[in-house]
Amino acid sequence: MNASAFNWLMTAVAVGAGAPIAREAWNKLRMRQFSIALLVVLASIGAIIIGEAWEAAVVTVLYVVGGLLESRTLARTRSALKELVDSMPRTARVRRGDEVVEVSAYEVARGDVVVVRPGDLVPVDGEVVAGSASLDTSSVTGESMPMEAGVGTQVTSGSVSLGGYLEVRAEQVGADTTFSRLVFLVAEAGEQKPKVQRTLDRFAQWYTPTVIGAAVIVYLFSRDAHLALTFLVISCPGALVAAAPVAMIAGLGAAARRGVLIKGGERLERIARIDTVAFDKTGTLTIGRPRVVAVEAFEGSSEAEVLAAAAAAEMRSEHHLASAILAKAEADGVGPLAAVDWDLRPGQGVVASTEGGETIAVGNAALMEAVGVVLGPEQAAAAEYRAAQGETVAFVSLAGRAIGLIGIADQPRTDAAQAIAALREEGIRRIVMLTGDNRRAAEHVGKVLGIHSEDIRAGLMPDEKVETIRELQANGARVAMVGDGINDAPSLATADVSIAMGASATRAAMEAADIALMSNNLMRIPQAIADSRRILRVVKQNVALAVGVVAFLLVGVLAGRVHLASGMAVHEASILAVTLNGMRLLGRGGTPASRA
Amino acid sequence: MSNIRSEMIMLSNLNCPVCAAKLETAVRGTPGVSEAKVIFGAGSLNVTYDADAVSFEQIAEIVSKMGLGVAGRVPRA
Repeated sequence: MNASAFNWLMTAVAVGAGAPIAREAWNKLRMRQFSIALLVVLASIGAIIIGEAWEAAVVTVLYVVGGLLESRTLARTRSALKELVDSMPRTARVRRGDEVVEVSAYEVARGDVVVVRPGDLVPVDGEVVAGSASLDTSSVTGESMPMEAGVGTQVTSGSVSLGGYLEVRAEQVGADTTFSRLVFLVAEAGEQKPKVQRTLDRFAQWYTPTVIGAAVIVYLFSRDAHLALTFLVISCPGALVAAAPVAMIAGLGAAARRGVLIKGGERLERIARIDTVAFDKTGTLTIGRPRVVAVEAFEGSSEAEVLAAAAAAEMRSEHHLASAILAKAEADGVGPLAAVDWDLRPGQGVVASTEGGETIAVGNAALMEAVGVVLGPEQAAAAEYRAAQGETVAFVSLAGRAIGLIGIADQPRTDAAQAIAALREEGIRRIVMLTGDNRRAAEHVGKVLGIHSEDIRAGLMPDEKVETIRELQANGARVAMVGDGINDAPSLATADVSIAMGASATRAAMEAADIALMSNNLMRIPQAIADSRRILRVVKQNVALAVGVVAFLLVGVLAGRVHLASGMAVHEASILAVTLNGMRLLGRGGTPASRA
Repeated sequence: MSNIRSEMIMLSNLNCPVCAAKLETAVRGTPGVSEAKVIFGAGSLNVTYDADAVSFEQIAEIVSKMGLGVAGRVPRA
């Protein structure tokens, strides 16, 4: 093939590949945008004019191939979000009178009763009013253990019924459900810019005009149109623009699939710098519901007798310890004695009578004294021992004689100690526990969980919790506060980073928090911190890579070492590299304290 | 009576941040559209419009004119 035929062939290739690029460039030019496509077209035309048609062909083909590759990898980085969107409920079965009709999930109104059959997605947030089922809540909470739902259970949209039948009264519907909010928050978090990206944006504002000016100067000095055009094309900031967003959406989306909602933007930088984590004790480190942990029968009685008497007395009580005793009696299959004449004594306990007229009293030592029951020294010692374990102790007396005692405590969550160990491993220097509870109960929980005694702040009112966080900050600590957002909203707002935890977290807390955990799994906290640090690290790597490549290429062009085709290839490769680097965040995770 | 709708439209083929800005401008300039925001990282278009003045299909047409596709719709309100 002679040189002229080769030139014609290459020109044909350039025109074929270049036509859609030219169309794109023209469309953008009409919108008054100087695009990379325009630079490619100008450079290609220039290359053909100066007789380097092969270079025009290479540039245009590279641009097209690069675009295809970018589109595939970008789709992958967005796949975490897409999976969330795909698992949103589309339809709902609504009970209308005796009929069940299938409607769009967005047509369900508050107060409607929806029917959930095996395999269905729960389409609303609401309360179960009939039936029971096991639910897979993993798409919302990231937890793999199915949840058993029965009448009275609160269920969230996006859960899948694994078997059973449920009727749920809708409380939040359509775009207001927990799951919908989660999807929107993830989508928007990807758009908020960390500081490093905002610096880059400021840089980009003067970047394009500077580059155009520089290209003109290059031409004026060298009288080399080819060099000036190459300079223009190579300086396009494609990788710079994509560097942060692709990493953010991949990382935040992957975390969201595990039930960890990290809000993006400059919060990532704040989260990464955390060195102190403060926990609200009740409901966060502990289950938040007191349970009977010990039933002791004194000489001459049995544990069943103690429970039967206590349950009889507590039957009419609204006290939060009463429900713990009743639950224990039910679990042990102990039927309460028949009782009449309940008398609640605030601050002491409760007194009732059996049908035979004998007095039952359940309460503290003051109540025993008030009803004339004398406690022996061993009985008082047994109570003292229980109290030292952080338990609340209730004596039980029947017919004027103490028959036993019941120890009640709010127990630490099973994963709390492990989570605290993992936080320390992640480099958190100080774990602080804040509680309104008494010192003894707090000390006991702290000891079990491995929290240092000086970091246990007990007996705090809500405003004193805020004060404690301010005091930590004043000493230079960067504090993350973990709570459920109900009574600790002020301390969450004061902390450098707020972490709202669990199904019990209020909607407002979930949206205001920097990190919202969709489950009560405490291990998600060290994970969220590790995830944030990893995302930030990848964003910084990407920015450094993008800036480095452009600088390297420009120097190469000016030195006459980098030509249009090779420069374009490196350029496209750098965009791919930042996208691929961002994609690393998709698969990994779940390993706190890992250092990438 | 106005018939205001807000949706998150998932886009396919949204590959260049510049196209994202362009789509945003085009949709925002459409009569009946009160709000339009393209989130590049997420590949989505958040739009609020008056369904009596402009249809979803008209918005979808602007999307396809830009060489993009509609991969999904999620109503927001």
